[in-house]
Amino acid sequence: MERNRLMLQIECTYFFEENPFALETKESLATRLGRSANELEPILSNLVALSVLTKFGEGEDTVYRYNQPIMINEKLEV
Amino acid sequence: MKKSADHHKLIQHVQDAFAYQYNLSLLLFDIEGNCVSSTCQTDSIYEFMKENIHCLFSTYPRVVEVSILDIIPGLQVMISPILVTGKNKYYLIAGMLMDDESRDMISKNSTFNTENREKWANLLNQARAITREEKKSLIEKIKILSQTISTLFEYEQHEHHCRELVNGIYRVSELADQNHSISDLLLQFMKMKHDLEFIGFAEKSDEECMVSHILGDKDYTSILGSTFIIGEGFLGHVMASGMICKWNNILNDLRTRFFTRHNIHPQALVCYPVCKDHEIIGVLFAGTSQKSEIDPLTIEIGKIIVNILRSFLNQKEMFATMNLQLQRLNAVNEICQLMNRAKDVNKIAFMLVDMSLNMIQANFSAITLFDLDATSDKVRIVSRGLTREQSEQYGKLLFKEYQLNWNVHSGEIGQIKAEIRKLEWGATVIECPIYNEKLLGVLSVESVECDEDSKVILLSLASIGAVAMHLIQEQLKQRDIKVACLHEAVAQWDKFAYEFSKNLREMALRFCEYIGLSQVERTNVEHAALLSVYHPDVLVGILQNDHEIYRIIDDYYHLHNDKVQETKGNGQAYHLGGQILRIASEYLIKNEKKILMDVHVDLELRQKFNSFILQSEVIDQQVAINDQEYQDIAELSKREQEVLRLIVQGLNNKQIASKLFISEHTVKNHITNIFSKLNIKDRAGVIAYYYRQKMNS
Repeated sequence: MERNRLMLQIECTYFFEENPFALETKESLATRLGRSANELEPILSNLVALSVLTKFGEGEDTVYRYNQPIMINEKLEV
Repeated sequence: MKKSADHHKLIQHVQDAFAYQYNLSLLLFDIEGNCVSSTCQTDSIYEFMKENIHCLFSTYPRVVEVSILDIIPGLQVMISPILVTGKNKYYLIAGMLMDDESRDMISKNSTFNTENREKWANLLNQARAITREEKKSLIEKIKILSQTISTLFEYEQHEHHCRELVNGIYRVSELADQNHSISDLLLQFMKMKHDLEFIGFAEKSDEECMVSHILGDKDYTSILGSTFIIGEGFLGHVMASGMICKWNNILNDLRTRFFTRHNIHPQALVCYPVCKDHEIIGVLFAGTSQKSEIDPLTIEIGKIIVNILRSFLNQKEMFATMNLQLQRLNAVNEICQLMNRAKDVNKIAFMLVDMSLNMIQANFSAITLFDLDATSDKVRIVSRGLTREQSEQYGKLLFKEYQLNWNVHSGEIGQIKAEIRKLEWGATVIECPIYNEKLLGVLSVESVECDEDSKVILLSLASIGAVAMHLIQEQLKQRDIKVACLHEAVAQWDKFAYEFSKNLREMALRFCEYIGLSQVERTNVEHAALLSVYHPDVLVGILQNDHEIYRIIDDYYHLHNDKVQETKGNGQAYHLGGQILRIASEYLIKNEKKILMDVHVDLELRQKFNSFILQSEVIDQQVAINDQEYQDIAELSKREQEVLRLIVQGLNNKQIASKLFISEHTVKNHITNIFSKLNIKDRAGVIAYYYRQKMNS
């Protein structure tokens, strides 16, 4: 079965979680995941909208990187 | 076809009975002059009529009621039009007739002197002589016969029409599956009702409605995409009222402007609301510019079409929902597999936060994890889309409500449900307990609609996360116990080895933290350090499920005892943990502040260890540094100064790259420049240079 958009989005998210310091363009990510850049474009835009990724630059040179979630690990004064 | 033949037979019987009763020849012709019946009467009259009917029609083209026509003066036939649905479709011809006293006069007519004299004489002999009174009476009888035949023809046509409609509706009902479109459905309606000139569908979206489909005799596509407000015009009226409406004689009605500007000029229009769950989702409309009224039967059939359309739309939506659910199920399955690969709880928390956002398309999500020790008030919060303050505030709230008050007894698993909460800053969240034997935390995701689907998906993710976390914790617990037992056993037979492994553990852990290894990697190195006094062969069976620790110990053993495997030297590197233990143990044994000269250990790692030792000593000397006290070094660029400061703080390349939002490659370039400009060979030298500069200043 053809991988749907949601599955591809999860695949992209997992890639960046596993490589939190990766800086990838649409093309380089397509090469890494074995996908076409066109099918990745809307997915990357959606991940940016969800704040999972941050993008730098515009057009073909746009670079994407993972946004580390906020992590708090402490005693709380409740 | 059989039904049609039955009707024709019946007409023939009626005709024959009438002919026999009144001693006449009767024939039925269509308006083209084709004979559509036979006669049981005299052949000569029948033959004459067939031969001469075209001549008769051309002579008397507009016969609109029962008339008597002279074939030759005195010799007559009666002709009666047969109307079917108001239109002249057939002629009934009855003959031959003559006035009772005129037989002799007719025979003297010049026609009789032609070569066909015998034929005419024959006709004359067979002609029925009637009186004027009989003729009047016969006209009335012929009228009744014509009406009877007309009714039978109309009945036949009606039956044919009904069969066509039933077949049409059957064809429409066959279209109600996912392989067809709304256009197919409308096209079939058009085919069924030829009196309609156009048919279309307008769908509701937000507060407006838009024409999404149109079909017609001409190209009406320019109306596609036209919008109207609920209540506006004919279509808007139906959207607002929810009633089926028909409008006749609307050519000059201002409300037709919606259509006329797209070159559609309806005289009559019928509109049907299309409902789903008591809500109007669109309007089906049909009209004609040829007639000022729409046939009532068309309106009734339209009702059936609307019902089929509603089922059709419901089915489409159901398929779409089912497809979406299937996609989500596949996605949950994939997430489940990915979580199984995770080696620590933090990783699972990150995945839950990101994956839940992907599944629900929300603005924020958060995981609040409670400490396993029930008495602890420590929480771990991983969030995306919330500020730090919001995360803390929300974490405290969850700690109070869940960790302190929430309780589920065993056997009441079904009670674990997703809850909805409205937060202080206005957002609404779905909260799902992460529960496996005990409450591990809460997954919270913002949701505008808070629909059941979202709740089920998030609860599934929380359950998957709970199982994955529980498994990891159990594995770690078991391993902790195993490692502790093995380490304590060493104390029984080799006190020195026991103490050394403790020191090795402490040194290796500090270095791991210095170079920024993850918690999982640190724990692996820690356990390997404690078991490093064992020969790997002893541990191979015991650590069969802890491959990483075994690999670290095995590689450390080979590096430490100079039993370097050639294959490793050529390709595969020694495990980072094994190399760390090798450097740390060498330092502990020899206490030398020089770079280890073992080529099998990565040079950069050895340099980092030297920097680490140097920095530790600097810290021991309590040389306090902070941002304001950094000394600028004139030879370096602004960016190189920044990199230098971070080196001095002990950050590795990856951490520097992350901090400055540049690639590791760029960091390496900056460091190479720094080395070159300051004429220094390694990081330790950089740190030493910096402090020398600082002391001098």
